[in-house]
Amino acid sequence: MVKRSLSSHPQAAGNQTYKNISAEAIDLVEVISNAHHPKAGAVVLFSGEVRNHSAGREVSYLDYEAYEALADKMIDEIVETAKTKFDLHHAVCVHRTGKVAVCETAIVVVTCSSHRAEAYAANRYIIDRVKHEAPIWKREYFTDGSVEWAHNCSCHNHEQH
Amino acid sequence: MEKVEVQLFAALTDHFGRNVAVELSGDQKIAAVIDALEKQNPKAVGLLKDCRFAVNENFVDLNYELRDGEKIFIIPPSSGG
Repeated sequence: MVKRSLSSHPQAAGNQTYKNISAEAIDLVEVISNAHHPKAGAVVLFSGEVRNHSAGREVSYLDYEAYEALADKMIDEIVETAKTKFDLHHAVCVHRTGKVAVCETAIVVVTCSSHRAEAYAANRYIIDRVKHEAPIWKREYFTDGSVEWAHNCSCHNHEQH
Repeated sequence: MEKVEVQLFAALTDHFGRNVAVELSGDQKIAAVIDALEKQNPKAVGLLKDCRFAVNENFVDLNYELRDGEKIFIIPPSSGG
């Protein structure tokens, strides 16, 4: 998952960079331990996880597909825009491909800023744009053996929750 | 006859497979490729109408004129996250 490390010191974070698209499991503890930044008083981590139900049906697991080159480029742009717009010290977004089991992380977004308002707002900005815009798709595998491509993002149904 | 390489994703692969070559006799616009795919598989018409298109990792519209050897990527509505 790690593209390159510019520092071996975990407290000196903000230096570690990640691939935006990864076929490997996302290690949340590893991601958050590399997110500390001396200028950041707020670090927000959002983990988008696979739930065991979808539209009243029991989900076994999800399988993610991406147009990797374009998704990688778009997530780069979204994260860089968020950094400028919200004055972040550090931001990371990694989206999984392949099979992701219930309770596992499909996407992680970490945002670090001097104060919490910006870190929360930026995190929401990144996850919303990636979900709506990045060329990534999920296929739902249900426990009854059926398989379906998920429809577009349904967050308009849950916006107030 | 010009042959255009097309790559598809997600639900579109159920209709066309991952890659398909489309032969165009007239203009080389993206719209002509989509017309050809719709004729090839009318069941995919609804989905194709909701898609975006990319060439060389940039989004393009239906009026984009394909140049020699350019491959088109057809992108259904996102469902990531």
